[in-house]
Amino acid sequence: MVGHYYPSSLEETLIELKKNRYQIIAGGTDVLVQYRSWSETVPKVKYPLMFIHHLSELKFMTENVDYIEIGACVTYKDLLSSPLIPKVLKDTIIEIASPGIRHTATLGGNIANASPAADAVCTLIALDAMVVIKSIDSIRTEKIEDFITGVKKTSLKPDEIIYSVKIPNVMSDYACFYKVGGRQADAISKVSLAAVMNATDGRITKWRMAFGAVGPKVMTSLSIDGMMIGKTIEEIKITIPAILEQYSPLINPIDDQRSTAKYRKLVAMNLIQKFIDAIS
Amino acid sequence: MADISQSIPKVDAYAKISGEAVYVSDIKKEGMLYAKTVRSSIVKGKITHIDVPSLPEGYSIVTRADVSHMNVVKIIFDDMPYYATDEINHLNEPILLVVGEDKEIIDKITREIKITYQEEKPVFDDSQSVISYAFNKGSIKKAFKNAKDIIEMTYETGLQEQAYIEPQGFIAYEEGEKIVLIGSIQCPYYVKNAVIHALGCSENQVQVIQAVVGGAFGGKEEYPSLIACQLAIAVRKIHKPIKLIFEREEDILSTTKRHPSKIKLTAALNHLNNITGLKADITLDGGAYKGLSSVVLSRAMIAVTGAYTIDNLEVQGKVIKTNTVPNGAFRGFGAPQMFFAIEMFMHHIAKETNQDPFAFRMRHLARQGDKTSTSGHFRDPIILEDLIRVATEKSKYHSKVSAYSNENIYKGIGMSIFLHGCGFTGSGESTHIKAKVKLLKTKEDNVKILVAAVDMGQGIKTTLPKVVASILEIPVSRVVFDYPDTDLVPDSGPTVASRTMMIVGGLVAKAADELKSKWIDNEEQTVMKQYVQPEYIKWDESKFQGDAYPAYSWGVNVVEVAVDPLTYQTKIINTVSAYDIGKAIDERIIIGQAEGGITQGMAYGYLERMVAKDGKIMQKNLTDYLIPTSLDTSKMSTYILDNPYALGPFGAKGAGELTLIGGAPAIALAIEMAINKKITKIPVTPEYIMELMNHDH
Repeated sequence: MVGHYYPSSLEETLIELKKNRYQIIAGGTDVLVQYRSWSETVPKVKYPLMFIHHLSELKFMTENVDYIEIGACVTYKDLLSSPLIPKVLKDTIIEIASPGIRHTATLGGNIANASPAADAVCTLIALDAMVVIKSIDSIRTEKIEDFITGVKKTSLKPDEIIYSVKIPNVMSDYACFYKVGGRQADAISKVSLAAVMNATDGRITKWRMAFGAVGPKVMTSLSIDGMMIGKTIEEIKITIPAILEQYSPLINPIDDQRSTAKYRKLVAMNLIQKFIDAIS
Repeated sequence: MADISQSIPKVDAYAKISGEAVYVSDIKKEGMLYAKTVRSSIVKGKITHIDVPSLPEGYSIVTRADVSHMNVVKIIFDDMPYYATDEINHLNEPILLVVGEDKEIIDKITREIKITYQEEKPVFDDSQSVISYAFNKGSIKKAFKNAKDIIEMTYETGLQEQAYIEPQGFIAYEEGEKIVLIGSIQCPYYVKNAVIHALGCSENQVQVIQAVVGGAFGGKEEYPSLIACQLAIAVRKIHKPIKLIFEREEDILSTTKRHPSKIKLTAALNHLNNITGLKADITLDGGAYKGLSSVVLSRAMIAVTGAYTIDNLEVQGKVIKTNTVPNGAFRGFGAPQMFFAIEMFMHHIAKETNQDPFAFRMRHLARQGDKTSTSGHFRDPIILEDLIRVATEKSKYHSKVSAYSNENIYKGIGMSIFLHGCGFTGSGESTHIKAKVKLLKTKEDNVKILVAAVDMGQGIKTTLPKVVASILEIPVSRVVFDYPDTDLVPDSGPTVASRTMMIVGGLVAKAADELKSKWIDNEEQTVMKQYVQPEYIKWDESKFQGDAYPAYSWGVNVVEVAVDPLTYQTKIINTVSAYDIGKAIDERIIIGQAEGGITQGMAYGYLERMVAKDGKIMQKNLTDYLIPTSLDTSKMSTYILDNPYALGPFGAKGAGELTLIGGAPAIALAIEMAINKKITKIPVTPEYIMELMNHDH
């Protein structure tokens, strides 16, 4: 049998995580795939499973002046039906997997899985979202792009759990998510772009881009994004080739079973252009 | 009586939707053991040593050393072992089975078995030709000598995976002297004969029973025989029921797929810009073993002229051996590759010679009385022009062609025109298969259909009883058609080649006619019928001359697409099809076949991509090998035009494969129009479209 722990509260979870090493499992749509084994045999997980999907403390959605806060175990399906959730995040979620998976998969799980192709992570980064991480004796907050450190790697320590995601409660003038998958639905992204822009009197005040499936993690650069701040939208539109050149070093995709490096790079560039064409 | 085409509820719909249907993986037997296959981890070489850990009580391994008679899968050539010999020819070749009660322990044993190899250099190029055929029609020399223009193009097609919902699997057990096999199969008698061949036993010592089949698409034609032979040997050794069910990835990595092809076509055109001669050089990649490749090649070669008549031909074909997983039967069986090539070629010739492609194709359409590619005759009426008229009108083909001809619209519309020879190629039905069917009327006046035909989703469990009930004028509920069991049903042949309704159904209809004429209430009666080839059909197998098929079904697909110039993705906007399948026995079932067929065919043309890199299949699961979802389809309109065939039941011809064949060329032509670049290979992926669109820069 696979060892497992079924806590009745978040506190119990954190106490237990302090004592023993576990593989945390929420919706299971990544964990169960990664540890798949011969049918009717138990998955060969490295550590006992810690089930958290049922914990009500991780299933909240709240809003204050500064943040929208989403508990780690809120499912995609619940996000889609909440009035608190920004439209661009809903536009992203509707492109993720299939209704069945969206029914059980969680936002916290998508972040913890740290896939370079994670769709929701792109949009959360573009929205400047942060992760709140808890252990029994600590709480810390980290930007998602820093929390995720590499392919399937995060800064999460064995005794920690993703508690929530905080999205700054600001309106975006333009916020888009472009997913390029192998088919119209239920496909892992070959390349994706989440982009957010605000402007005051035609001058850019905020510019964020995050690219999926073009590097070891979702790729973003505050310094490149920062170069757009203060420019007028017109300036942006007439300097597209220069902007593409600025973003180019950030986009370093690979060939794999789903697509080619060349395609991913070119399409990522085309998506930047598409976003710039869309703003006005 | 109501028109036979009027739909009735599918008889197995409730069982399948409710979950009551019993698939092979649902079956458990008293004392049943499980088996797991240990496979080669190299592509080519020799096994030098197999190190097996000491096995716990009740656990065994089964290898070729346990084979007492023949270690080959009986297909056509005796070249594929079911337990690998010392010679490994492809990655994931089955070497041995580990059998026991507890899956966890079996799993552990398979991981502890260490096999050492001496690796050899694999071959992936076309240097190893293992089968080659050739035939001619008319005088090719004269056509080329007098040609005004000569045009040559080469087309390539890729692998395609059947992606049936239910993976391969069997349960085998002993019953006295007999071995019983229950499996997910298309051809109960292929399995039975393969096991007899493997064991060297007598006919009454092997019984094969079909479980409910969750899709097949040709993938369960010849491949299941391999597993059946492995299990028969295992059961003879261990004397307990054994179940072997593939995992999805194991299934994708080790079972047969559609043959990749390379087809070179050269046409001679006269001063009227008509094709007078065609040379074709067709290469199919058979993979590591020949399997059914020879017959797949035959069908591809015979389809060389598509739905057109060309007077002079020189056709060469070969199967090459490469160190990849063997390729085999797949809905269409060589025809989809050839139709992609010829349909693109017809369009490319017209473009090259500044002609209207539609008019050019219309001038070459096959007509009743014309000689086929193999110099047989199209005897029956051909209603291709009606099909084209319906499909083009309903899709507004002509106005869209002109609207989309302008640049930077990135929309296109493509049309394919195609046929499918129904039943086995050549004299297969009369010389190899010799189908037999039986009807048994019980004392209660219920009628049992005793045939070996398998319902794998295509609906034969509904349509055959409908044929019998209609003839006997009794309710369908009084006709029983159980899943075939070789101890109970005669060999009506395999469930392949779009033959079931036309050939098996034709015989069943004849039997029903006879039963009706001698019907006596409350008395048990049986009627048996055997296939007799129509006298006028002559076929010379060695020369590829004569009537390759008893009848042809015809189709036209029109597909409209939009290509995103930023992501190079293709979106299907509209799909219109018209078919002549003689007569639909059940309209809804045929619409189901038509929509599924064109979806699978279009996906072959633009979506489904499988690549074997150095012998290793890169897309090993359904996350990476993408098949279309409902969101990848458009509105689909299907028109069925009646053109009854004299020898088919109620006029029915074949339908199952036809509907797949036109999908790839239609969508490829639509994409070609959208991006205004010549397409020569499928699948037309976004990556390929990007290369084409950026070629000039």
